Amino acid sequence: MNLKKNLALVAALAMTATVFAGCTKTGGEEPVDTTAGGNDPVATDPAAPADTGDTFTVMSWNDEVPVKWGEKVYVADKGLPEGVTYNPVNFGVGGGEATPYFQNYMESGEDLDVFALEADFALTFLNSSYAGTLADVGISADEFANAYDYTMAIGTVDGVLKAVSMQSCPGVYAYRTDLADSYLGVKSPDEMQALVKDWDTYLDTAAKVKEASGGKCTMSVALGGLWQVFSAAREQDWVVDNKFVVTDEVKEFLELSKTLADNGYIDTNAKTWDASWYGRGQDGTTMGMFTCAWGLEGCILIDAAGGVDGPSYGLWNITEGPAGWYWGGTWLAVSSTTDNPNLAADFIRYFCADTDTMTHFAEATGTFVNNKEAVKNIVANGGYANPLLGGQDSYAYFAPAADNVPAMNIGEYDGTIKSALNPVMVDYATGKYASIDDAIKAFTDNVQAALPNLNW
Amino acid sequence: MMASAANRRIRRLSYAKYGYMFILPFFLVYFIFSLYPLLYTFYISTFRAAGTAVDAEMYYVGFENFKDLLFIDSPVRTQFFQAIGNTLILWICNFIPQIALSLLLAVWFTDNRLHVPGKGFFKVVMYMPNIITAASVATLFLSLFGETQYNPVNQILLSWGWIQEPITFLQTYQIKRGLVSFILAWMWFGNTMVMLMASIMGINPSLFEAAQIDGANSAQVFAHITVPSIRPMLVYVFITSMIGGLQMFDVPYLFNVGTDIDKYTRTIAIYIFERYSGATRDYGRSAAASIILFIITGILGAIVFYINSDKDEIAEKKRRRKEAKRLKGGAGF
Repeated sequence: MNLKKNLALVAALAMTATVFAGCTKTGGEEPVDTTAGGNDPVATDPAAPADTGDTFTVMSWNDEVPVKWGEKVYVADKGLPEGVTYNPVNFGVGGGEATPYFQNYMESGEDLDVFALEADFALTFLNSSYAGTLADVGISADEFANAYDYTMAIGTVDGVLKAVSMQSCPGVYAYRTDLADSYLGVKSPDEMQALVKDWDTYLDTAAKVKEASGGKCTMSVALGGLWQVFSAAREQDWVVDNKFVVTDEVKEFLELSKTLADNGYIDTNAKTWDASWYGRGQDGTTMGMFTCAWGLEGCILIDAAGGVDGPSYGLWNITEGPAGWYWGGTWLAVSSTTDNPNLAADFIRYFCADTDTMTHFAEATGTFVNNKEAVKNIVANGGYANPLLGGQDSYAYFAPAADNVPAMNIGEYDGTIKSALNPVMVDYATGKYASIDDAIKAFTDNVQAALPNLNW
Repeated sequence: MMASAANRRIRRLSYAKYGYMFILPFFLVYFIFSLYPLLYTFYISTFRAAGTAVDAEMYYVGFENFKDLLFIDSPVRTQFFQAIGNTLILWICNFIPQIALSLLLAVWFTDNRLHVPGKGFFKVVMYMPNIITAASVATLFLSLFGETQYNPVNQILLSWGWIQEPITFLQTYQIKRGLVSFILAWMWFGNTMVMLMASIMGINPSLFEAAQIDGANSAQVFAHITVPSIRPMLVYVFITSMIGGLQMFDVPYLFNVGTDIDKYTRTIAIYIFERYSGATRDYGRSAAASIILFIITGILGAIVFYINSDKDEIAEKKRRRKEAKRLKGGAGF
């Protein structure tokens, strides 16, 4: 039986070896005449070196940035200089699994110009020698005056701008209009917001919903989405001077989850990203869920509605909820080995700085772009009546919400610490720890086990 | 006379050359894919990464990583020791029922007096779980034992009225460990059975006949003829299963449900993987844990091999060696 495993391993290794053998360096050794063609990006900074590469490579963990946006929006709209081919690299995995794929690609020394990052693992790459600064390719921070503050804070490492976000992802509380009407008599998102404006009011409303529905309907579903609200409100990094600090938000969050679970305002058996989570959006057993700008048509809410033909499609509305918060987003960074610096700069400007192209990008893809002017333009042009939300204009809603997201720096351990908190939060809410101190102890132990190199 | 001796020697040498050529591919593969990674693992187990960046510098720390895992009281060590315990529990709980069932079935299927009908059919069916990938099996069981009223096991129990509320099977660590052990036993018993059958069929039938004529019952035949005769195969099954069990990864890993309960099925291999794949890039401790696993495997393998080796033969060898020494010593005087 062990032999079989060994054979499989050898076969896998052999295959991997052939994969590497098949890789050839596509980076351009031969300089190409970049003056040909009318679509050439114009370098604003004369100090930026000239483009010499014959391949323009954009890398991400999935096809969103390199294909859906890079190829279908950028290349289709602007084209590339003559002699340059577009090379989208996507690994078809979730953002959480991207690190080893990115690392292997970068270490292999293959051609790379622009790559995408998620906040949770951004610093793993931004702190490395593989990431260049935006100034290297002639982009200055001033160009992003219209970007939302929190997106800039995350892309700035030690005062140097290294990555900018193409989207802004303010979080929302999405609720069922039909249930809100029958249980609470709520007719508009503004009325709903008044009932969930802070956590105390939220709990009162949850009690009302529970009573009115005879205990059938909870206020929201899983705890995972809820943590994002508290996480965004953190003002201090997890690790200060190489020491781990448990901030008050953790305690507040754990206490709140326990209150919600004890009173049956939430279903702790439902798991985030699972059918038990989505399913609750269709059978009328939940008033709403915490989601965000990418979690409407893209995932979460569309699944919770059961798809376009689903039973609750069009019955949802969004409102800000108890606090301003964000959830994820996609940042773009330049590779330190880019051989097309001007093209890379143009690509980043197209998605993250230029109001006109970003307006086009938003209209083409429905993305909530990271540009206040572009958002204003879209809202002025009639906005976007979202059929999933029964015609509610998500843009008009997101615009003020994005302003309220607190600007916070990310730390290099955020993703790891979130993973250490996840099991504890469910177990504390379901009463497996005797006290909050036990839960915090378990959390701290998990962090220490994951990050033994800190000072303990 | 002299010439023919020389010829013989030459012929022997040239044969050996072909022999080496035939085994060369194995050694090449072994050196590249087994020995080199093993030595390299040992090398990186003495390093630590300075920071979390993907190209963070590795600095030399000597045996600090081993010390952290084995001696310094911290959650790192607690988790590691718990992982060792989990691995042993999961392996023992799957190996004992597995070997018992395989042995029983192997004896039944090879017994001439029983004449079990459809032997070939059963062999194929029982071997089948082994063909399915562990991932599919784990997913199947996860869905069978899911926690809502829509998952089959809960659905059946509810409809029979045995329970009122769906049971959260996967939140109870004993059930979770039990399921993992059951899956592994179920997946491997067919394989073990086929190997034991092959071994039993290799026993000289006249031994069984003689025992029958002497009036031995089935239990006596089993205890005094079958088991001693297939002992080398039993040792082989035991050692391979133990090595496979110590490296257990896929099924328990897929049973992770995202709460603290997962620590009861975190095996050494999962521990190594989590350490390696986390954002902390803790290659050093991960490699150190692998080396410790290697040493544990080596020690356990040696113990099993010693216990199961033929004591009489060892005593005989010792005696012969002593005799030789005595003779040599005698010659010297």
